[in-house]
Amino acid sequence: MEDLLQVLVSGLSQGAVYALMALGLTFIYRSTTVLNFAHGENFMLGAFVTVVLIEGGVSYLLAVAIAVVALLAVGVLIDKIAFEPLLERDHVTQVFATIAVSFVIKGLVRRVAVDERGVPPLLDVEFIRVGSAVLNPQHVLTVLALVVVSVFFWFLFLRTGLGRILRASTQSLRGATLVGIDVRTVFAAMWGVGAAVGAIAGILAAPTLLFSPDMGARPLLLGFAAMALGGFGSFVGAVIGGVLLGLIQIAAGFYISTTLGDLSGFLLIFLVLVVRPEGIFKTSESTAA
Amino acid sequence: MSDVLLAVESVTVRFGGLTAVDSMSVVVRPGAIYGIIGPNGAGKTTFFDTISGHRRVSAGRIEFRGNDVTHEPAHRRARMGLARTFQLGGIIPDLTALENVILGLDQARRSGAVLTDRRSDRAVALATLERLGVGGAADQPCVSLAAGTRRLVEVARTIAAGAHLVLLDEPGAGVHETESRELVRVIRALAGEGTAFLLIDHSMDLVFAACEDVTVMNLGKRIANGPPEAIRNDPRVLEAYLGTTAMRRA
Amino acid sequence: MRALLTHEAATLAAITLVAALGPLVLNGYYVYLLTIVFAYVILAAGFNVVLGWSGQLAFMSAAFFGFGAWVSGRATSLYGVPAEVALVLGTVGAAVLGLTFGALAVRLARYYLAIVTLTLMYVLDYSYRNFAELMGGVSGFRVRDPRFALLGGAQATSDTDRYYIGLVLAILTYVVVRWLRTTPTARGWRVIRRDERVAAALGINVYLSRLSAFVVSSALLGLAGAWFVFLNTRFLPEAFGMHELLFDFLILVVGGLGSLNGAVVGAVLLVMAREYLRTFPGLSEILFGGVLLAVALFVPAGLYGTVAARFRSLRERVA
Repeated sequence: MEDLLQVLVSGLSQGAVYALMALGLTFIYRSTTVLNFAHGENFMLGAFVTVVLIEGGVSYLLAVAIAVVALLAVGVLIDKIAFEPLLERDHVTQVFATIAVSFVIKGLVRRVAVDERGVPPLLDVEFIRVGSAVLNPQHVLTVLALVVVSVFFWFLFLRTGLGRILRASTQSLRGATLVGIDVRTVFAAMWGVGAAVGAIAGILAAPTLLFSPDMGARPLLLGFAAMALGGFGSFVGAVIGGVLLGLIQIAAGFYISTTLGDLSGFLLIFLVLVVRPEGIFKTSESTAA
Repeated sequence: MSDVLLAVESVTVRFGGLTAVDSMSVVVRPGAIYGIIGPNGAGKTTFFDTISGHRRVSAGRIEFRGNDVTHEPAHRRARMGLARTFQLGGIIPDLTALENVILGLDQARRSGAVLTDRRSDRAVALATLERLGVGGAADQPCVSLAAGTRRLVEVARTIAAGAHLVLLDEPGAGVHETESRELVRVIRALAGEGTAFLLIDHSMDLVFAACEDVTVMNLGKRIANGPPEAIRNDPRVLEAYLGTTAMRRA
Repeated sequence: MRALLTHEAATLAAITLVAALGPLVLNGYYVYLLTIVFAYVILAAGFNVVLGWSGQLAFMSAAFFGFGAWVSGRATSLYGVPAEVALVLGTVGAAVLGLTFGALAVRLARYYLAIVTLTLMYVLDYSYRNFAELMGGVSGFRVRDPRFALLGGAQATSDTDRYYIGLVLAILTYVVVRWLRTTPTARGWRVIRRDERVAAALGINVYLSRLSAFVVSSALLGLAGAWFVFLNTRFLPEAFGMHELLFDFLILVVGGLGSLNGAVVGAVLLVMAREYLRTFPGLSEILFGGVLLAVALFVPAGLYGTVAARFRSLRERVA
């Protein structure tokens, strides 16, 4: 029973990271139809900036806040450099541009941060007890963060005027332009927000991982997996897909074998895309890639 | 009728609660030139797509050269002698006119035609282009050709493919009036040699000039059918295009 | 047309002749470097088929390059198989993997295909590292010098031997791919790259067309890898991951995506550049990423494509 609870929390927390990655990817994909292959670097930079600031003496919360804002800026920058100039071009070129950005960022960070380093967790609490189960507080925090972020964006998108503008832009670019919405600003905003959400994922996941410039690769791929699972282009699907993926991964690793746990994400990608490319939860929002 | 090339029976297309094509029927014979007109959103292109195999039908039957092709994918119909042009992008722009026509020869081979060997492809393609009056454009990349010339190259490709029936999707799109007349002349000449044409276009002038039989579509349904002279003055057609208010005011 | 072909053949013969003189005038280091170039010419020509010609976002180069290398390396190190057989095994093995994987994968469009091929790369990498007894482990395995049965069991130990064998393989690959370009199948790839609806209207079975491009690429990438493994002393899993993939993208893009000659030019330039940049660790990523971005932004036709276009317009103006 305690095992189950631990697996559940662990899986939800892992899933939350994937869900956040998938959300970030979906923001960018829905508004610009580009799959941002540099999103893993948003993850990595979030962790990186946080670590550097903390080592520089900044308090944890402030470091996190600065990191998120910094990544908002990074997202906008990537949009301006690697996406906007290529708006009219074919998808292959656009994808290559994001891959190029990914490598430049990795290379730059590698020059600056030579060693791998550990990232300190937020709470000083070692563990939380629930009955006879021992839970990692970082996991609980991560799940909470997902809930907060999801609610925040749900509110923003569905309940505010700004959200209406953003939704209009993602549904019809031409329509939005005709109504006077500056779509370039919308693009920039979505890229910024997408990057920031990816950074949050990185900040939350970092304490359980070692920081390295290459740490974004797996979360990127698993973010894709979550999107595929939940239905490409669907925000709700991204969250559900991510959580499901995390649960499956942890459960498989715990109950069957560690190898299967590691591979489960990959195998799931194959399975979903081969059997049901439109995702398990086909919503009206999900589109074909 | 054993000489019917294409028989479309009560084809219906429904998606998302909308009926885009409502029980449309068409019969095309060899050497005929058949036109479909209608206002925007009438369902012409959707209907066209069901004939070429680019869209599934929700109901109905399509027979081509005596075979039931209702559920056949586009490439199989293309291999039976059905060719199609596209409103935009049917021609590969960075290839030359000659190379585009050779694609038609490839299609002929896929249809099982026994052609001369590949080395004479260029000569055959050139001859086809000349037959349509655009031999001079042979070695030019299509991106640099005028819209009318490009359209003729596309038609040349369908002839090279040995098509029995050619579907022309908005052949007049972006084409200058003089070129448009040339296009009509070429179509009539080719039809005289046995190729059947089915075309849709916005320009009623083009359709009336080229076709011997015209169907008018509106809201997915057939509302009129007959030779151009009859259709031209049919009040139902005018109503479909202009709307009832305009009719009442007139 | 005929004139063009002999013109090309003459150029190819000239290049081959010049290349054949290589070991006589260059020192050992450059001979080795050029041998690597030859392996990458095969890789680039092969990758260009699926990515450049058929326009599919198949991020498969590193995976199949690595797989061919693994099969060939394993065959020679564990089973003492002669090199020719290892090359065939690597090529065929990669083709079989390409066929089975591709049969399912090419049904997917655009980004899905990219994701799935990336996943394959990671799964292979994971397998190499974790199923040690079968695959070799994190530090790979030692590769023995290739023995060539055709040469009477002689071992190709010298750089010069490997140079000439590599040159022959590269020339053969080029000729085969060049011929491939004249076939209706290859013309079909060009059409599906542009517009699959038009392809279907031309009688092309789009699925089979995509698959054929995928399998051809798999085979050539496998051949490149199967040969490449003999140029190093070890098979290392990390040599066949994202970094390799980016490098391969760069080769095609810099040369000119969709052009065989561009791929060759790209291979030569980039292998040399990478060698040079080895002295500045960490810089290659930034530089390569930057170049990829710059080329995508400013020189979409790639170096070869741009030069060839200039040359063509020059000829038109003169004629």
